[in-house]
Amino acid sequence: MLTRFKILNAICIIIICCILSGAFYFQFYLKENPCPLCLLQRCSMFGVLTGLTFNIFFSFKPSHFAIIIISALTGLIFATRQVLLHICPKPGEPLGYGSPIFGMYLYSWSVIIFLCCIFGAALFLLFISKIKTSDSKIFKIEKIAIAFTITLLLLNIIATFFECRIGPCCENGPCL
Amino acid sequence: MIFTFLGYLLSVFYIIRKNKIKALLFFYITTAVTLLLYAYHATSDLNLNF
Repeated sequence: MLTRFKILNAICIIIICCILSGAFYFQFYLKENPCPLCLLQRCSMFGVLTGLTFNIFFSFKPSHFAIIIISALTGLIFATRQVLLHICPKPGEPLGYGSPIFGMYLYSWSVIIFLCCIFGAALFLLFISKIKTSDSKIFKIEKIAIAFTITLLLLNIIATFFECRIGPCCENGPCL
Repeated sequence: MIFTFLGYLLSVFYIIRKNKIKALLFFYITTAVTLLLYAYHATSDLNLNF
């Protein structure tokens, strides 16, 4: 049971990492620089990843799922604000920010992803009492998931530095 | 903005080092900074005068 949950946990990390890698496709291939709210949503996704990484090294505990839910809720606030900013465009203005994917913009997908994170954390919490919370070995898939997370974090640090330098980000680069 | 990503990186680093207190500390500080950055952007859009 513990092994299954550990593998499922690692798969969740890899899925979120793949989503964050997709954002890099839009940033570097389609040349669509992320807006401040987009970067804040990425931060919240890393918060979710931090909670999932806690599960790998400190076993499954409700407090780790609390971290996931807190991060997902903050991300949901940012994504919902961005959806509401673009939900009713003025005539002559672009319909949304960036290119849509499967008919929806990235921030709309972000709302769905954060809702899925909250739902997933709740599902994990339902079965957490059945899991023996003992220290166990770290599987190869978990090592891959952690390496993927750290690589993406480093890439985001470099990309954000070149976009906004050290200060906060504004619409077209650094604020200050 | 760069410091929020750096904060999460440090949090993950301390998780790997099995230092839960420092990892949690960095996580909560970074989340608070992220929310403050959001507040900064939300209020700068509105041009509020305090």
